[in-house]
Amino acid sequence: MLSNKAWLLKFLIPVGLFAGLSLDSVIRLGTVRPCLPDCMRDPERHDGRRVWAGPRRVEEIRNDGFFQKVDGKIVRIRWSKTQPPVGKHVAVRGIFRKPDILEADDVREEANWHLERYGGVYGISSVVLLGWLWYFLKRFRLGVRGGLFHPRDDAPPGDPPPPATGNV
Amino acid sequence: MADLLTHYVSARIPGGFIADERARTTLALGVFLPDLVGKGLEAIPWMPNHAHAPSHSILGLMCTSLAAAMLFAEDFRFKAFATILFGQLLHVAVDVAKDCQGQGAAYLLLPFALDSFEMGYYTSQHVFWFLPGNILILILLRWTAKRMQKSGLVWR
Repeated sequence: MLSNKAWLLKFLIPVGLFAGLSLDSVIRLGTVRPCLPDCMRDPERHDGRRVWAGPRRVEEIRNDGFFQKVDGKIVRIRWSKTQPPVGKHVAVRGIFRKPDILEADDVREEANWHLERYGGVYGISSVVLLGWLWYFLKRFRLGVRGGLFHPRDDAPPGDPPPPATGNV
Repeated sequence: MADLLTHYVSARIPGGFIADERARTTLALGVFLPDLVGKGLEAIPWMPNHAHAPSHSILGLMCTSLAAAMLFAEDFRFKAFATILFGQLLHVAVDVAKDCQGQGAAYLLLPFALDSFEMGYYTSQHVFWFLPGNILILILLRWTAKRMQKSGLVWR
């Protein structure tokens, strides 16, 4: 099954299947689990849908909630409990109401959102990925025929056996 | 998503039982791949919402494992497929342990079911807490591996 015979086809079939899964997700999940920008683009269609909105900056606070910006448009978040401070990033879960209201049932403040996202997740991940790439290129060489990555002949298949101990 | 260091650490423990260094490298590729595919798709401008969802579903993992394995030389391809798939399953297991405010961390059963899963053990805020812990775990594992090699045990 994993031989070189019809190599390109064996590569393209799973790629095509993945593309089909993606398309299916876009269509079906896009209807059942819309994101907030989708709701703002078509409020009539998504009125009453449950939505999770990823961390966004709090622009203004009122007694009954706060405002956030989504693609340049203002969204009113209805939230009766403690209001988050202006300038903080918060993630919100709730029910979307046309034309631009999100009735929140959970608001989570993300402290240091930018530092966490870009420094923590992407920064650390980039360093790890570069380190792994260095190891990978030590163990594999690039080829053209019969696959893109070939194990290097000088790369050991495993660690050397432990030195013999005791009587031989 | 957890950071890739956390995912790497999750692969390091089972990876110690794999004798072939090259297969350990492809196991690490496996734990990185769901985010490389998912975030890669998300980064494409005007890519519709949810297009990346199969990158963390079981059928999607099988597709990406097979496609990635086909890039390797024939004699190493099966090992590449098995380790990449195992790595991807580990990745999704770590992600599913996350708390995503009830919206779910992964659509595991796509396209058969649209349910998403999460266990709520950590949030993305914990990345900074994980960093020293992960480094400590890697140092401990390195030390353990050396001790085990001296005693002739299999873990590396």
